[in-house]
Amino acid sequence: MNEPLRKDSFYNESLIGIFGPVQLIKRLDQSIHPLLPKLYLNCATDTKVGSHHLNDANIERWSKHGDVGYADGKGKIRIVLSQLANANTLLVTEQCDNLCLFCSQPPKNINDEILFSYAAQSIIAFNSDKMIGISGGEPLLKKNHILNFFKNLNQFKNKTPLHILSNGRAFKDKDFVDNFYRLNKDRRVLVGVPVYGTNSQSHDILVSSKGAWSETIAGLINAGNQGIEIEIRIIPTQLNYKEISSIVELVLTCCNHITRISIMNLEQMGWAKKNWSELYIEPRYYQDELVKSCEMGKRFGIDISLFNYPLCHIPDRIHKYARKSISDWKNAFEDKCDFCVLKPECGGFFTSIKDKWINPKERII
Amino acid sequence: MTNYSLLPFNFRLLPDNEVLISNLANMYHVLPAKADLENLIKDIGSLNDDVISKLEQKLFLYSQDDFETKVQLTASAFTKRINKDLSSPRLIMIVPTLRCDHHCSYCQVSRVNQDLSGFDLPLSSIPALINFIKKIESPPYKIEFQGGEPLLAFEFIQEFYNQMLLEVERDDFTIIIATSLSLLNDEILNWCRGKPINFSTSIDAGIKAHNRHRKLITKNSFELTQKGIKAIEKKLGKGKVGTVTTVTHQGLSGWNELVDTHLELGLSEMFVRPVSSYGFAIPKQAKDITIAEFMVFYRNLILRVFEDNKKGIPIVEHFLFIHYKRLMNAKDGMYVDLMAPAGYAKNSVLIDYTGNIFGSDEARMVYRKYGFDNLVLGNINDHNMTLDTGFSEEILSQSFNFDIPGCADCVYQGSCGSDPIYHIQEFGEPIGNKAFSRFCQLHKSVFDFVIELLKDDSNRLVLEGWMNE
Repeated sequence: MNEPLRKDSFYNESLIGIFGPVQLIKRLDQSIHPLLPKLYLNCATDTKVGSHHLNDANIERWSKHGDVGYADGKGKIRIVLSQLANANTLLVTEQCDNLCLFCSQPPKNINDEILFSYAAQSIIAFNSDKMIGISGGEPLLKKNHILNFFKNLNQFKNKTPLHILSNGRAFKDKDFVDNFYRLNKDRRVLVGVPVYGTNSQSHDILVSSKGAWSETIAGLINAGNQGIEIEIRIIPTQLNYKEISSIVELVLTCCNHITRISIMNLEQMGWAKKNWSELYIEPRYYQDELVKSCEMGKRFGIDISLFNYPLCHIPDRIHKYARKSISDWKNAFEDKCDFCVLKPECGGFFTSIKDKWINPKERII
Repeated sequence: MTNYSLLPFNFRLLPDNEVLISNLANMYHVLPAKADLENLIKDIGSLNDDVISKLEQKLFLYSQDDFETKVQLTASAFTKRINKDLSSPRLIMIVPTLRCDHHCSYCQVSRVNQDLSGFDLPLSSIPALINFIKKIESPPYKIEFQGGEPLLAFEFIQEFYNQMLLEVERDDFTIIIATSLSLLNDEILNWCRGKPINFSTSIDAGIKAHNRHRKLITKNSFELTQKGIKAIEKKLGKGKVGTVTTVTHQGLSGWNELVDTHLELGLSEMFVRPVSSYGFAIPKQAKDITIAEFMVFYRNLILRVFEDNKKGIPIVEHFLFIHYKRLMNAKDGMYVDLMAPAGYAKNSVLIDYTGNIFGSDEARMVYRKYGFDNLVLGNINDHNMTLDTGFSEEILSQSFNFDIPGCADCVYQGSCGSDPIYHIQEFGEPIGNKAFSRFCQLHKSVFDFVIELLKDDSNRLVLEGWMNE
């Protein structure tokens, strides 16, 4: 259960000294953007400054021509934008104004402004028309950073669609909403905003920040009114599992431009590990809420999806809403799952899952 | 212990002592007893925790910390709802002829005999008509031919279609022909095949009543309609014909027969409403059936339809379904009669056989009877084509039902609409006295009925099934 479906991190001592984003090159290609330093893999190298050469069968196997990796200077490289990946996400900051009890990427209070530059360079060089995820920390925490990031992309006429994962609090500021919208006129941007409650009580506890719910809701109203496309994300926990369908109904009744809702099973990463016993609740205790939520999709005319739910954990009736969602670099199946007829349609498990009691012990479909 | 306070709400006492409450966000909740309403107002703390959290989730209650946000959410829901009714598309109705082979007792437009001349839109007006359509609405266009009997002017429909093809993309318009089907023939069907053309026809409650009201010299209107529906299904396929049922006094016991008729014809959708009293239908029909009488019929009909659904026979009754969708804030709950601000001119427009432009079908009926010139918005043959919208604006500005006497405090305000043309006809002004309004009585009764149905889980599942189809 620990082997991911796609390997993304590699070590090669020839990489020592190479730092920051590099583009993997497998053949001479004039159309590749000159912006990033190049790493020529098992092929002839040009002589330009910033070009490196590397023979590495493993990286060769797990990458495609034009992919982008971040090198750490100590010989390690992580492929962050890959044409082989089912989802590409870039981290643009590790700072956040929420401190979610289940944060998978706990914030660090360091100056990491460079990450926005890396991300902009990488997106421009990768030049894809497939959606790229932008996550943090809180990507909208420093408003001038994110707006500059958009300006940089626009300067290179890049139109890569972006999915930005944000707590939405920044949208409380209407001027910011206006600028954000204006800078993305030629780009599709979908903002994923988590809402964990129908009132401040459960939400503010889960994100450990008093006043967060009010700012997120005000932000959602402003952003939606401006026409910014929004995805609402809900994570059921012991604190809010009874109000899942009420959250769905509330945001869809009150807010504009919500185009999808994602209900996500808790991931055992970061702080969720230490708070697991206070937070995690098995889906069987809130099946009715899941069914009710999913079946609101038609009523409001939007997509509702379940993420990170192995099919054997939810009722048959809502299987069609479950997505194969876990990013391939952290996705795995139990050996037992090989006997299950639904395995091809199933999203499986996180590689990080260690508590056996949520694994498919009881019911192999 | 959190302290909760109330946000504004409307309420209505239901039979068996329950109380329905609603708010500006158009969320609803049923309190099991009148005493709960009193507790809600006097002592929220005495309600049980589950009720309190439900009411808080639906924006009836707020805790001090959340006051501002709950008000923002309510306001946002309110504007979202009005925007939905403001921005939905417009149905374009065309009356190519006023001539008709039928002589229906409840005809609202005073049709004329089929051999008369001077009651048709000339083919030469088609370019102006298409120009007008393109000017007032963006694609996809939804066009409905009415009458009279539009099949008496089939050549007009063909020519309109051909010219339309030259002006807009093929996928950018659909045509509905509202017809009794009595004049349907193979030539018409063959021409329609493969084109975006659907039919809408009438099947009244009770075959006897149908033939009695929808008069043909041959006295076989129903049989011809039945034959027409079968022919459409055979030649053009399923789902190309829809029905509208008018309920009159003579049909009041025919609910089972009506459902059976639909099922036998392979129809899984119906739309049933009482005879309406517009224009020329008034003296003959206004007193024909009361809303109370209609509701007895309608309850029996719906119970039968629900019974069938529970047995696995899929049949949808759209009049009820629309009321349900309005109560649920559903995305496609738009229906011209149930909008606030009203659908008049904004979501419907009708071009008469004279080229006159009206804001709704009802407006032309009232105009034809009373000659109320303000109702004519313009004429397609007028080259300047300036629509006189002053009067329409005045009408629409009085159709936001949240500040109308009788609607402002109604529990169904957020779901209901307003019908200024009906009220102009009945009361001489667009608001009218809701205590005596048939419109109000009808829709309130249907909303009450939906709320009653929703109490039973098996009925709720039927409605949810319709929604998720």
